[in-house]
Amino acid sequence: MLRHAAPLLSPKRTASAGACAKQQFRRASRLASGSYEALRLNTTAASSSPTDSSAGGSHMRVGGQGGRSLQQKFYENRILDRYTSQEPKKVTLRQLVLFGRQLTEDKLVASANYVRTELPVRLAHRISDFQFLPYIAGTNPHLKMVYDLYWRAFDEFRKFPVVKTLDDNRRFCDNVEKNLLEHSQVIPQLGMGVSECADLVSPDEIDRFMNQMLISRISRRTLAEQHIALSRQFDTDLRAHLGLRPAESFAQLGNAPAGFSTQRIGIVRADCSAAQIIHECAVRAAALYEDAYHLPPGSAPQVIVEGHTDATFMCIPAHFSYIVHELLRNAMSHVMRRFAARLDDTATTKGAVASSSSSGPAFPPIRVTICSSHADIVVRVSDEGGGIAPPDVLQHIWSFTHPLKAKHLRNFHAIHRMEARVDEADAVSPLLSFGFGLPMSRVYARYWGGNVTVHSLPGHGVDAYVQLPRLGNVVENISARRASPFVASF
Amino acid sequence: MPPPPAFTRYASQKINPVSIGQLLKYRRQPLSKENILDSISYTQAELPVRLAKRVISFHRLPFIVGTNPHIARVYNQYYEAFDRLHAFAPINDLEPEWDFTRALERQTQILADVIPTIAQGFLECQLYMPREERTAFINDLIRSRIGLRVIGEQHVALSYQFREEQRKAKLAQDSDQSVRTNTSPHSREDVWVGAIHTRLLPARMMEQCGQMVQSMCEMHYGTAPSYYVDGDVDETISYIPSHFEYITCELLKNALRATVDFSSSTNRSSHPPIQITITKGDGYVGVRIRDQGGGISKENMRNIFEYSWSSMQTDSSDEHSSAAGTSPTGSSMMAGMSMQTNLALQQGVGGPIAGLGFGLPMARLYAGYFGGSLDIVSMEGYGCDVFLKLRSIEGSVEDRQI
Repeated sequence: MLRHAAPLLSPKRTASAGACAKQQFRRASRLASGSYEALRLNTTAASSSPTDSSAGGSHMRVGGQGGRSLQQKFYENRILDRYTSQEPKKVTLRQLVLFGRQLTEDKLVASANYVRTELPVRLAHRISDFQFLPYIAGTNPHLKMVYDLYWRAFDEFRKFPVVKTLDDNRRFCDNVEKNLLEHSQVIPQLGMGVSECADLVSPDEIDRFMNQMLISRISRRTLAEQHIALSRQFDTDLRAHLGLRPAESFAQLGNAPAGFSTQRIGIVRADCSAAQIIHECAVRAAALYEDAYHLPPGSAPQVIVEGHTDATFMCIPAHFSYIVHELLRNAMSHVMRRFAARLDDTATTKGAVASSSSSGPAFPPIRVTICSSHADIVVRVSDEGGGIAPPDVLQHIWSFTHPLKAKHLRNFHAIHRMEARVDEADAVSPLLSFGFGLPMSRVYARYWGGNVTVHSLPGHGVDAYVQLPRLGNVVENISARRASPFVASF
Repeated sequence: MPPPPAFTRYASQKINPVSIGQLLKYRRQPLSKENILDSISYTQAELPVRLAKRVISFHRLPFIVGTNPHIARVYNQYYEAFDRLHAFAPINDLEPEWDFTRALERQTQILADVIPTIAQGFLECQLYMPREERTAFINDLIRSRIGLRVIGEQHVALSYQFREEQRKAKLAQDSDQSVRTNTSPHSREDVWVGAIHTRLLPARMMEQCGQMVQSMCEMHYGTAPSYYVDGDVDETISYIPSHFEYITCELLKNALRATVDFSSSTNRSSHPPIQITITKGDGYVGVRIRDQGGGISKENMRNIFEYSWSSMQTDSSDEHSSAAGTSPTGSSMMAGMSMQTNLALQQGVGGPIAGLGFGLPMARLYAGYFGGSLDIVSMEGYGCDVFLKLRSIEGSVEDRQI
């Protein structure tokens, strides 16, 4: 069932601006192989004063007159420099939890101001990354759209007034939510953009850029979503009912009120059960594939969970779900494709006959093993889907832009929004592949200091490993702009 | 005293990488005199150059390190080997070829325990040479030693094979039977090309090594986990059995030992079995070994492929070393196993060189020699998954150089 997400920019505006920018880009890419002269910026175009602080807003148009607004921005960059000279203030999950457990009005306001000042700093670093892309990539209309979106957001947040009251906070949260929604098109746009730049920029550079972009994006959204969730949890009515003063938190009461848990703070869970999430993802993935292939329920490969099944850890369940879901999807899809003949058998003997047959499951099961130690948790997803073949594909499964993936990346044109959340899976057919799942999963894992690795046994199957810290005491793994190469930072 | 002119001449020559084509040149045919003379001329050209280069590598060690008795001993062994072998005039007949082959065999035996001896020497020289340099020296030594042995053993095997065939042919002739080519499906000529076995069954290798390591484990610990082999058990590859055997024993040794240790430290009532899965890819054989031995901690993972220098006791009483693993006791030679494997398994409790963490780095070098790989994934608190990939020698590109 494909539900189309509503496009967020009016089609007409996108089309005309897009067409103009597209023309520009195509012309520029043709010239890329030719004369350097043709690409030289016209440096006399800047007309407004560089120190005019209101100049920030007026020239941030989507597409627009390509050359001139770019040159404009060159001088406006001094505003950016004030933010890129600051280091992001990173947090750990534990800090988020401890902070949220003792939520008072003051703390909520402080959180709002932390987000308000932190987002522009993190955005600034990424905007700067865009600026260091080769010129030719920067003029790609999709990448430029994201760039412009980021500039707008940066500008809005840096100009937002200090939050002092709960009312201010409400306005702030509305603003943040609007922003989150507007930016859900970033991933498809980046996807389309990088696929179009595949021959113009080296794959390594693109991968590095994408990894940094995505990890930073997750970090900003995490901060934003956590704050919004805390704001919602901060129930003023309940507080009034319980007679709490502004400087007091729920934690100071003898018994926590109904619905309030010390283990569930905003979007973080301190005692997330790995097995439970895996089961949920398994059910969801099975339903997706049964639906897509028109199979009776129960025919998708079985997922068996073994090992330390009662292991818990501190995490953001949505992140962990995304990773597990992707790995299970890959496993299921490989297994079903490998034993496709059994698929036909199941399809033709639908319903009661298939489910009551005693010949056993049609597919070899997918085995998920949970391994927990004091500081880490490792989840191994093992399938008999035949492995990743041919062997050279294995080297490129982590790349965002390898030519082998080009055909997948074009699928991005078919959708408008992607937030890389597990619930999105319902909106998009599992048969539509973007080639993003694995690299994206790894970004989610690496964000909190973990990792995803894949070992392929050709002719047999794949073992995929997700390793995550358990205690929530690892600091966010984001970098300032132009940090040392992405690979070396791990 | 400056080295003799012959030595310098050899040492300054370029090394020709071993070619797979050369190794497999004489397959599927009864060996002829020409084949053997061809093989000897290749061997005679290659070995002295490589031996000379090994000797030179010692010259570059710090003086104090070179005077260590163990290091000096190995240095002299290599020098002797070079001296003996380069002195042969160019060979063009079977008699001198046999002399050379016997001499080569003797030298190979003498150089058999080079690695443990060097290790002992470096252990005593820890203060005189930084770790990275010791590691680099040992890596070079092992790699070039593999090459030397591959070339040397290949010729020796061919030489013996030729003479065996000749002997059989003569016997058949003498008993008035017409000479027939041996038509048995798995005659030695069909299957072996010198030291390379063209129809090696990884599953059987796993079984044999598994049994052996299991009994050693039982002998030392009084208990041992079971193991089972599944996957593509009928697949075969072309490989040098002694290499495969060495790697397998090393990995199984670690898996079994870790399982027993973890069972005892977690009061587990029984040992979960070791799962061995064989897979065949395109020109590769994959072996996955899974254990529930508790895994390796993050800190130790950084060091498992390093050569570790544990402290050793002078007596041969119990002494365990680093995470890289020691072997269960096994000072008696295990029948049927190559000299290499025996020596490797002796490295450990009760063996001549106790507590050496050499197994994994060396196993990885062996795996990589013909284009394979060895990777280890650790799930701390649970166990380890080892992924071994070996590239079939026959299946690889003919002129692939190693």
